[in-house]
Order: sequence, then C-alpha cells, then structure tokens
Amino acid sequence: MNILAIETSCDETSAAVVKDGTEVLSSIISSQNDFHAKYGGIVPEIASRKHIESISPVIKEAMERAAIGFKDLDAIATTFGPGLPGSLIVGLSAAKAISFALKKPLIGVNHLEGHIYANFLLEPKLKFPFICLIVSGGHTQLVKVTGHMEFETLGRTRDDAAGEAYDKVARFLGLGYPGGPIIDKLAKTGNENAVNFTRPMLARQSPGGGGLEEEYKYDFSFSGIKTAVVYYVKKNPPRPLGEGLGVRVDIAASFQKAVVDTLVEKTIRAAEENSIKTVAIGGGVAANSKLRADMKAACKNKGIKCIVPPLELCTDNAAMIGCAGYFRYKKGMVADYSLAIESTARIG
Amino acid sequence: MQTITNAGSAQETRDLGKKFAGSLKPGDVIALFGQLGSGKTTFIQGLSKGLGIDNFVTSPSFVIINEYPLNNRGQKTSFFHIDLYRMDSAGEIEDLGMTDLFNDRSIVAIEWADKAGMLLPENCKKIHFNFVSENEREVVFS
Repeated sequence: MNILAIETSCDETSAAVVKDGTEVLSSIISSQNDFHAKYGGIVPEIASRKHIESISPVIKEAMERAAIGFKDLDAIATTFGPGLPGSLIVGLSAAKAISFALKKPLIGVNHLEGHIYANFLLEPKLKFPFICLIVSGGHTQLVKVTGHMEFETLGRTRDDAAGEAYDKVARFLGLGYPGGPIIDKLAKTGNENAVNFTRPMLARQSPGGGGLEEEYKYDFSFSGIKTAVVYYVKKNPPRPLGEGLGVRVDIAASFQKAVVDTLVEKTIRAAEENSIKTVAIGGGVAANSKLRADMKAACKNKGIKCIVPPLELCTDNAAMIGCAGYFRYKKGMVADYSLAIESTARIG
Repeated sequence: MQTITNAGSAQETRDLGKKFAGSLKPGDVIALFGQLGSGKTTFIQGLSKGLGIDNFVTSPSFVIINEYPLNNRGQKTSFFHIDLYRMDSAGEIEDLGMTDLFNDRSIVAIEWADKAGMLLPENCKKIHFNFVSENEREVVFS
C-alpha cells in the first residue's frame, strides 16, 4: 500500500511516499530556517507564505524520487494539527485536493502521533507498550503507547517547551538562532558543572516535604531554568560579547545539563513506575546529542531498551506522517472532506 | 494611578494575575513589560485561571499568538495571549494583525509590549515586572 504523506505543521514543507507503513520510498523536506533566523524563531505569517510556494514542487519531487505515478497511490495522509494554523491549512488543502482528484482515501494524522511513529520507521517490529518522550520547539510531552493509536499522556510542560527554552536562553546569551543546535555544539567545549541551575519539579519530594502532586508528577517546567539563567547572568555579568564567548559557554553547557537531566530522569521514572521496558524519543530536541547520549546511558543502566531515531526522523518530516497514516488506515480511521485543522490538537 | 505590589514567589505572582482578572471586561488590552523570567507568563497563567480558562496556559513565544475562547454570558469572546519577544519592529507586529484583535469581543494580553510602541491603544492597562531577587518580583500596575 502506497501512501503520499504531507506535513506542514510548522516551518518545514515536507512530502513523502511510504510503502506498507514503514518502507520510505521518498522523503523530501524543504526547510525555511534561513527565512526565520533573523527573527530568532518562526514567524507564522512568513511560514504560511513559504509553504504555499514550496508545497507543489515538494510533492512533485517526492513522487519522482519514489518513482511511482499518482495512479499508484492508495491513500493520502496529512497532518491536521497541532501546529500553526496558517501552515497546517496549506498541507491539509493540498492533501484534500489530491485525495479528491484521485478518489483515494484521506487520512488525518496528529503531528504528535507522527513523532511517535518515527520510531517504527527505525524499528518496524517495535513492541508495545513503550514510553515516548516527544520534545521539540513547541512540545514537551511524555506519552505511554499501549497499542497502535492507543496513547495516554502522562505529563507535559506547564510553561515553556524545552526547545523554546533553548531558543530563549541562546538569544539571551547572544548566541543566535536556532538555540538548540547552537547550545548543543557550544556545550561540548564548556563545563556543564559550572553552575548548578534549578531542576524544577524534578524532586520526588518537594523541599517542604509535601511531595509532588500525584497528578502532575510527570509534568515539566522549563520556565524556571530559563529564569535561573537570567538571574545568574544578572548577578555575574559575563564580559561583553566582543571579547569572546568566555563564560557564556559554561552557562550554556550548565543550562543544557539542567534541561537534559530533567528530561531523562522524568522519562526513566515514567518507564519504571509503569513497569515499561522500552523508551523511545521524537521531536526536534531529540536531535540533541547530549539528550541522545544521556538517554541511552540511563536506559542501559536500568535495563531499559532505548530507541533513538536518526536525526532526520526526529525533526519534522512527512515520512513519519505516512507511517502513522498507514496504521490509522489499518484501524479504519479514515477522514472525510470535513476534516479541519486543529492548531491545539492533543493526543491521549 | 500607580499601585506597587510585591510578589514573594511565582505562586503569589499567579495569585495577583487571578485577582486582576476580576477587573477585566471585553475590549480590555493589557500591556506587560519586564525582562525574560520576570513573571509575565506566570501572571497571565493566574489571569487566565481568573477568566475561567481551564487549559494550562503555556508560553506563546513559539507561536506568538494563542487564543482561548471565553464563556461570557453567552457572548462569543476570546482571550488572546500574545508574546512579542521575537519581534523586532512595530512594522512586523503590524503584519501579525495584532491591532485587529483590539475590539469589544476580546481581552488581549501582550507580553514584551514595549516592542509594540505606538500600536498599543492609549487606554491599555500597563503592568511592569521588576526583579527583586531570584524568586521575588515587584509588580507595578498603572
């Protein structure tokens, strides 16, 4: 079964052809990073316009690389949310048009499902249940996956997403955009133990001894780490940027350690407390080298199987949407043309 | 008139926001000023609770504008949470269509309002957040 998949939830215009759920025949990603760098982040209006320019050539190239014709497609899958409304609507409209013209089923895929299913592209025989940490510029979420399209969200961020905290701290330290890759690279040369930044909501017991509220024990909070960095810099002003990065490298490394420690510990805790022996990750921040290394090490230490997709499957891509779309189709979860974008769609 | 209040913790900042929500009506625009980490989003988390919004209100820096529907005696109104942190000029902000939201069907709260300059309505409610210590903040209403 050949599925043409489209993903335009944020700033990547992507199309892919996926055969039988896990065989990627083609995957094209057109990034808009250069257009957004000057703003220190994605600007919704620009993103939407760029998608309109890119969508047709990207789909065409995906079909050519897959070396099949439109008549060989069996279904069209597209992301309907969550994401930026102006971006989502471009991919959804294109998918509806192709589906209607070919008279082939339309499948609406939740973007977060896509990040989870990227793990099936790496490991088609992945067994349930597993815990998936979805971590990106817009999301930070721990999901228990018990079967195909069966999700239970255990926790999510209460303020900033992890990737957003990276962007803000990088901007604050004058390091540039995108913050994630820049801090990841710089941190390799810095002392990550230079500053012991707060790790909010990491303690099993709060300092007052009251303990975490049971309901929120897998939630994240990255706003506090960001504030701790700001306050540290206020009290210990680094030399001006013109004199080199200096201590900023150590601050960036220490910030990254605080974020990664929190992500890893909560994920391992969720696996252990739910007696789950497999951990997977997804989302743009899952491309972070420290998170990948530390998650693997922590899992190994606890005898947990750890699945870490290659970088191109962590960041936004349509191949993962094609994979999730296939398993939705198998369960009869086909959409009709009333399918609308849902910018705040959730799973579990 | 200016009122200066101290918040000793993030929770107290949230409580201030919740209390402040009681004075709001559709058409109001709230402009928030203060550095990164000074408590603007935390205040709005409390404010949105006060407006009866159940969702966790998370930071909109990534998407710039978040909309939350409000139940206002059967009228369709919304609370818009805007974050101009990543915007560099009033021109870019104009392109966002932000000023279209200033109407009697919306309550709008704007973080990093200094970036909006002349685009802010004259009668907007201004709130400044200042660092006192790592956890304490001074909140100035004017």
